Amino acid sequence: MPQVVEVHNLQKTFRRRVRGAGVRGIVRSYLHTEWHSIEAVHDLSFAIEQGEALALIGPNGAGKSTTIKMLTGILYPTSGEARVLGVVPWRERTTLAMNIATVFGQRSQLWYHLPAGETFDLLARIYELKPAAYRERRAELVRRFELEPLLATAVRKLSLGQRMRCEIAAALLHRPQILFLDEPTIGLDVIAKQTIRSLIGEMNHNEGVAVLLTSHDAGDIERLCKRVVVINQGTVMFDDRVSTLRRRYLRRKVIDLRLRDADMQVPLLAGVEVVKAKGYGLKLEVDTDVQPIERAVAALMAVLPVADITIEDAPLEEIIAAMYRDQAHALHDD
Amino acid sequence: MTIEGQTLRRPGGLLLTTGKVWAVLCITLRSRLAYVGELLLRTLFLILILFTFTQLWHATNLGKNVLVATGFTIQELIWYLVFTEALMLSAANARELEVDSEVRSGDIAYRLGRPLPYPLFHLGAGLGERLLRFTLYLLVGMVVALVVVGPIQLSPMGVLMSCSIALVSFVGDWIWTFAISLTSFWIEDTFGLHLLYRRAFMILGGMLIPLSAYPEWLGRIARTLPFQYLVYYPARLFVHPDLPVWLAALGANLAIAVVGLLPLLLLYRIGLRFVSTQGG
Repeated sequence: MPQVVEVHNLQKTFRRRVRGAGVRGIVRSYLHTEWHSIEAVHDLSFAIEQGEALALIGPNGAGKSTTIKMLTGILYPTSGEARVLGVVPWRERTTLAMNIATVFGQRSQLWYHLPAGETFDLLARIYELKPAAYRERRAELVRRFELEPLLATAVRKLSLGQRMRCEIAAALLHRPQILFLDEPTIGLDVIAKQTIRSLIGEMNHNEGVAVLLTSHDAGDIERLCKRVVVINQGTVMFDDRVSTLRRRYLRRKVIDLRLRDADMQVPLLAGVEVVKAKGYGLKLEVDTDVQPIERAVAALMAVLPVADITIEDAPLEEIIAAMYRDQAHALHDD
Repeated sequence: MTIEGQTLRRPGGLLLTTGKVWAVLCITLRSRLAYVGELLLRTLFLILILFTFTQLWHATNLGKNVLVATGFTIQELIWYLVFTEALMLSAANARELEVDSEVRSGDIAYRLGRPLPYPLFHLGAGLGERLLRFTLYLLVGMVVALVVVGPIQLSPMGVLMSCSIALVSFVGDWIWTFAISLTSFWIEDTFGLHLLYRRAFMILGGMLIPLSAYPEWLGRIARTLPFQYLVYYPARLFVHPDLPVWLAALGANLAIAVVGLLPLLLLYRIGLRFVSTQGG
């Protein structure tokens, strides 16, 4: 398969001016400027094949967004090389922009006071779509993303999940070859997350759009991507299949229960540990290698008066910590 | 194996880019029209200014000698003020500071990922906003002038001349203010520079009274600087249409825009290397 993204030893260091405290510190900083360097991305190398969905994950400050911004030509790297669709992003940013799309979960490209349809029309002009091709594509996306009832409503009146559906549809109008998604499900509820994931997955499978996804949410990765790159402090810690990540690090799930009665006795189950039990709340961690999650849930539901239940993956910070432990063990064994 | 050789779509030429700027201008207009009430409220300030100055000039008995001093009658002076105030108040300060804030916060990064150069996006948005405000202020100002001092002989040619110069001056004014905003790649806060520029625009451009009424020393300074072409000349043509003056003002405004492109492009090219954005 041809590669649509190639990254070799990419590095980005931000420089910040250090200001002293108080009036004296400020005056001194003018006379003698001190700089503090932050290495956001360190020696990063990976590649994405055509039509592949790759997850780039890591905790806050790991360098995920900085990587996306360099690959879309927005930021210049400090050193290293990258080619996206065969071009160097920061040298041919505008040409690249015609062929890729970027969605930032925390930034909107839709005009806030106007219906999303107006932004669609503007993007058709900006991406130089032929009127007939635009009409056809728009109708197709409106149908797939079920946007018809939303198109006449001002964006400011849409829910976050509805807005995100419009954002992704807007990004796909010009049939990009690569879709960069930076935290597309941030702040969404469970149902909206599922909808967004299934729509992105559908576009990836049906249209062969390569996807580079960054997320804090292990669920996004499991449902959308086959391969995952984990970075922390700008360095690659793991680059392998999601199934390997799952087998090694995502086998622990967290079950959060709200009970109808307080201080209930929790049944003893193999592979299930009580993390917290207080009043009506109960938090359990399940090792799914020992106890499949369905069986654990069924057993708990059978004996406890459950009012509400949430199942989550272990937080990314825990996964990263487990990776560090593994690396330390490997070094120790050597 | 890379995908080199596969055809990439490339952005089109000047015509398509102009179409994109026009599309941004139109959507900005529609977006601003979503708040007509807010726009109308802003015109209250204009009404207040026009009313105050009319009273002031009558009270100081300026009317008697005004024709000698400025070449304008008192009615013409008020209509001149209508035009200069529409020019001044339509200069959207918030948009200048938006560019400044986008550069400093790194939000510029989110606009750079589109096949429309960042300055051209803001040109479309800035012109859309300014045209809307200018039209509104001019219309409201004309109604106020009609009520307060009565009509003057406005010719369609004069309106066409002054508005065409105003339109070109909007582009020149935008180029310089955008260049000032781009200095925020290096300067913490460009508010001071913008304030200085706007005050020079007001005072040396002849916003309150025509340059012909200035004290000689100040008039000499104002006539050596380009601000007169952004304010005085379009307003003068509104009241006193004159083809040679129109041609001179048009040439000067085009020169202001072309000369301004140099610092703008230089600052933008260098500034792009300084884009810094945190997160993730």
